[in-house]
Amino acid sequence: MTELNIGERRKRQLEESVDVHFKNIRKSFGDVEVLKGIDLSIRRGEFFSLLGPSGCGKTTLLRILAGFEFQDSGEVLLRGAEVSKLPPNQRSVNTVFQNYALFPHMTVYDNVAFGLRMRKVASSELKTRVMQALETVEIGQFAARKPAQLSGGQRQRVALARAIVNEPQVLLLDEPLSALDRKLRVNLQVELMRLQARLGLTFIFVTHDQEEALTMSDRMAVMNKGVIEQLGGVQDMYERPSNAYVAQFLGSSNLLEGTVSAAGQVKTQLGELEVRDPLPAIGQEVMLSIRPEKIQLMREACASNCVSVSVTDDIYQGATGAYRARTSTGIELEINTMNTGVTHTDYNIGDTLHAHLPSELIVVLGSGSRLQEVVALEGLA
Amino acid sequence: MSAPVRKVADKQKVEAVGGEVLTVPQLLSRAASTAGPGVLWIFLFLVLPMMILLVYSFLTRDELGNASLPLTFDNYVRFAGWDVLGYDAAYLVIVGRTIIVSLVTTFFCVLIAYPLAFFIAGHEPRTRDRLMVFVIVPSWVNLVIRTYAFMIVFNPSSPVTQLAAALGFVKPGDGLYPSDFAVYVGMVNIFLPFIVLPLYSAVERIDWSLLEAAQDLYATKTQAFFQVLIPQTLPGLVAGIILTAIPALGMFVVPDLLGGAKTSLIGNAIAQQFGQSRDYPFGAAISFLVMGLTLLVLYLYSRRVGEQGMRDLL
Repeated sequence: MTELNIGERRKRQLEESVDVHFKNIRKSFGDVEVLKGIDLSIRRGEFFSLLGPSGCGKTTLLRILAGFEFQDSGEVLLRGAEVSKLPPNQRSVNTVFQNYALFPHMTVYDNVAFGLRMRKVASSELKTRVMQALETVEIGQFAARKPAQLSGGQRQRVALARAIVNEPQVLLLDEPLSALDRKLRVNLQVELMRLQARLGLTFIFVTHDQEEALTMSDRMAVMNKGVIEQLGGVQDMYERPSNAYVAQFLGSSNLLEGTVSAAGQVKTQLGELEVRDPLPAIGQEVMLSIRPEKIQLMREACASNCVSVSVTDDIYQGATGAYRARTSTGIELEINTMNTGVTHTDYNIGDTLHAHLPSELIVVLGSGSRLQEVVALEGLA
Repeated sequence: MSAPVRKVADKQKVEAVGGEVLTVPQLLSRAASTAGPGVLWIFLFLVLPMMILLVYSFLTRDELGNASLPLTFDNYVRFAGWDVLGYDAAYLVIVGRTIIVSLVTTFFCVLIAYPLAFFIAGHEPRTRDRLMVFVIVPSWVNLVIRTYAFMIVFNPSSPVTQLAAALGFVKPGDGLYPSDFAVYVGMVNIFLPFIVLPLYSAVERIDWSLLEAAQDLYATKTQAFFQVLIPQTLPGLVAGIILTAIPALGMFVVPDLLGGAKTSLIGNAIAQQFGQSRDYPFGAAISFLVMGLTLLVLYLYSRRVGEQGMRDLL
């Protein structure tokens, strides 16, 4: 046995655990460049989400992996093998389509059996596998029905069974829940997560719903205009967004522009704020972000990072409450509270309060953050 | 399905759809004023003539060529081949030939219509409409005029015939008509729009995303086309076949003019009985048998596909 040095071994391990590798993928439709050099590795067995607004290129990336589109340049590796030139029927990935794309003239059973039949799986094995897949998604009793006789949620399950029965290396899900009503969507989210854990398959999930992506994924990539804005674990991405775009797209954030005034101090329109995050040199401009739920509202003044505000809006949301509060300098802050008491709070519009921005919860955003982008994003929403 | 009217406590009244309670005379007068004209029309111009025809088919032709008593089954027996002169299956042969001509016509229509429907549906909506005009407008020209046009196109001196002669398809000096070939060209020309229209509307509604779904499930493009796309067009295809094959059974102008006397079909036989032979009873019997055959085929089809399958055709 040849000894490998540690670096080499580590590299091997990484490569073995990578299921999908996009290398510098570029794609244009006409004059519009929808993917501007995407580099992305997706690990074996992880639940990975591609999140972004419509038109960001996430679906195109998925379609390139499935083989429905071909990239203009770059490579797609599936378990280390280049698949860029292969047609869809020769790639061991399966897709759950947004509109389900069930075959209307076939029964549920035949829909699920389609892939196995195309691969000439022996009929005895085929029957077991189809029934097993139908049981996995709990629609065994509908095997003889046509898709038109099923509800939206049931069709979704058929689409899922039709994909997983083939035991693909990677399962692609293109906004599969977006057509369902909220309650059903939440239930299916949980089921999808359990299924993924049980099957140990790599799931690549495309969505524009940040809540869905946060709920379900191990890791995700936030995409915008054909580039990946940030890639990482969901908790990391939410707690430590790398730029203003991600901070705004994943949940909402209060963004503050400022200048570094001293070590650990930023001068903003709210006044001098203490910041724990590493800062650039004194005199440099930075952008800060703090989540609405991290700000504490109180009647009494607090020691540091305390801003005097007056409440402009009091929004009751059931489990949570939201306030809009304005500082004397005209900056509006968004503040969320949990509805833990009998009524969600005792603050009223017009009250003058103190907002505490804990220094350890303020995130310093990357240099790529500009306010225009944020404005553009708000325009989208 | 619930009944359109429901009995209510008051025996003199019934509840109509929508919960309105009416007396029986009110209900009848309303039925007469709404469905009445249509029912009357169908009765006068469809049911009544058919009943007269049915009665005729059991009558006997007298020496003067008029239909008269007694009522017999002789016409039907004669159709089956038994005559005063002995057994001759001539009419059954004609029926067989008619079915073949109808099926062959339909087959060629389908063969042409499928690519055409896909070709038209593949264009932008505005171009599609224009292309459909080229399919539909020719059918506005009178059938006899179109048939005579083919006689001119296929006569020995036309460039088409001369080209065919040069290629060795016909002997120099002969025309392309009268011939079976001319009959089929004429028939396909007439029936093509009837199969293109329903087929096109089916192709237009195809869910193309299913092609990707099939390829995703390891089907080649060809497999995906035949196993996923074509089945979606089947209702349109069946509608087209019904619209073509059934009228083709009764076609007599085209075989008469383009086939010469050689190709006698059931339509010609019927026309002959009502015309030259003045044998209305026998003509009526043939008509009824052809109609019965058609209805039987449709019935068997509907049994096979069920209620939903028949509704899909519309």
